[in-house]
Amino acid sequence: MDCSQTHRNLYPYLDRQIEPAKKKSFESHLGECPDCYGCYRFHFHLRDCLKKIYRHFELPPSVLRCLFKRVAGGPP
Amino acid sequence: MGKNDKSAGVKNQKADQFQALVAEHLDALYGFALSLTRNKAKAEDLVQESVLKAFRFFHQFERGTHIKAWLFKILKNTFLTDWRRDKRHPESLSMDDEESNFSFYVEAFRQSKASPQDYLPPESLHEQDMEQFFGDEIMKAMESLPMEFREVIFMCDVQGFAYADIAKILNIPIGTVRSRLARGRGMLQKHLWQYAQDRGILKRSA
Ligand SMILES: [Zn+2]
Repeated sequence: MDCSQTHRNLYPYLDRQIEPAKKKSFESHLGECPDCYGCYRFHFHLRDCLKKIYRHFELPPSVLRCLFKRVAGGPP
Repeated sequence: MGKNDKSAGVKNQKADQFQALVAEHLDALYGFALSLTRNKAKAEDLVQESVLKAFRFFHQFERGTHIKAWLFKILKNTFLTDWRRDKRHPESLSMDDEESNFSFYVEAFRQSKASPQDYLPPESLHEQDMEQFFGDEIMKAMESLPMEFREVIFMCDVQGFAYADIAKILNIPIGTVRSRLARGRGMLQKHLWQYAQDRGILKRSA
């Protein structure tokens, strides 16, 4: 796999949707090419930041209580 | 046991079963609702409305299938019903393929090669720096995206849904999921690139 193929497969790899046949050669290119590896690290961390931001949000407990009360058939 | 007691018992059992299944997905649903509405109060209402709807249709849920995807689909459809009722839709999909190919990293790499005296290589942006530099801007970048892109990025990057699940939730072909992800990610990175330029991130101090 060359650099441009590696770029094309970067997100399919991160998304765990890369074709199994391409996975090995993608990984071995990353092991040999610092430029592509840097690019991979960047995108990996960017996604991590995004995950952390949204994982931070929790449904407020008051909303949760009210919701389950309504599910159980009680007044809100 | 009277007839009423019996039916109340069955009802309680159904409610308990439902709660046990959905409880662990409520924060994810709330995150999804926030990414769609960009407003906390609206997101709370949307979660409540969707979960109550899911409970009403719980008998239609096939046991053993992906309940999180089922809940996401209900929430999206609930959101769409409200969204369509509200006729003001400022967002429209522009067709700009250039965005699909935009990469912050590649752009930064190009700059640092072209003028190494002015630009640091993008590898110098480490994990902690990224959080520190971009912080809220990543959220702002997400919120600036049209809904169609925001939702696929949220489902794929934050929630880790497979393309096929996203396609089912949104009722669109897998190819459209892929192209929306590419466009959305390009737009997000373009936003961050602009921010980095304005703030001088990756510029060498003189
Ligand atoms: Zn390479």
